[in-house]
Amino acid sequence: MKGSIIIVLFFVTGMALGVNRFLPPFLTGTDPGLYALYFLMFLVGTGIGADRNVWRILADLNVKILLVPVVIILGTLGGSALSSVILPQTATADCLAVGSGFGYYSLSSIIISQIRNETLGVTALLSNISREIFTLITAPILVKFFGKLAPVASGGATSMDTTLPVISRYSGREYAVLAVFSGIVLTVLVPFIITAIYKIASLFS
Amino acid sequence: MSAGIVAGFLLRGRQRVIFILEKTTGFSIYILLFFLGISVGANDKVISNFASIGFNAVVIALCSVAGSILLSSILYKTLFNGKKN
Repeated sequence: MKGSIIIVLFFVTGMALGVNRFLPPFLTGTDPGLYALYFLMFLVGTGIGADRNVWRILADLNVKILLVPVVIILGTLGGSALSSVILPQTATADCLAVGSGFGYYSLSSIIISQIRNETLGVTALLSNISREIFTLITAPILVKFFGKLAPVASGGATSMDTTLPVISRYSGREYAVLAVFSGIVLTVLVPFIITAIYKIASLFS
Repeated sequence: MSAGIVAGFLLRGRQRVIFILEKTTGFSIYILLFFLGISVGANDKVISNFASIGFNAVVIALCSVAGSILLSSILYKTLFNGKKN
């Protein structure tokens, strides 16, 4: 939670500075942001590769566990496709891309504002923060009504770190390993799924 | 990112390097979001539409979560032998 607050503070401070135009013009261009993003992707990858747990979990993987992130991806895409019906002024591809942050708001908002625009980047930021907060608050209710996998699904990519404590508390410790696995898979896939959505959407337009 | 995963795999076990890398990752996320904040703040379209952006965000979040919970509960009941544990 502390990490999320710090991140939001950085964003809000930047926003306040931008509103007041209190900056040299070179900082408002998007190009330095793109290279910084590539660098960040490299770092995120390094963090995953260096994590001993990742390789141990991959070693004793079984098909049942593999289905968890698959189901989460399908459910998320289905749900966000539905949301584009409720929000007719937002393109279906945009809704899908925002949903495909799977709660990983820092990375997804940066990628989406690079590919599309800042408006959608902010949508992704707020939407994926909402997903994380929703999971933290409702985990016990979700377990009660939808089973022990529900908070893992709701947490999405965050189930490997920020929402892991509530998952292991309400779903049980045996679901923690599963949550970490599913979270890692989704975290790795976020940039690929978002780019793929726009690649596919561009074929139809 | 794939290059990063390979690099990380080769570096595993070197706790000090990994520690520094994790700090750098956290820091660059802060910096990038700071930049995103700046360009968002300087973008009048975003600022004037903040309420509707927030509404869209929450609708997309709730729909995505609902979809994934629904499918996961089906998976739980069929393959994970729900109820018993």
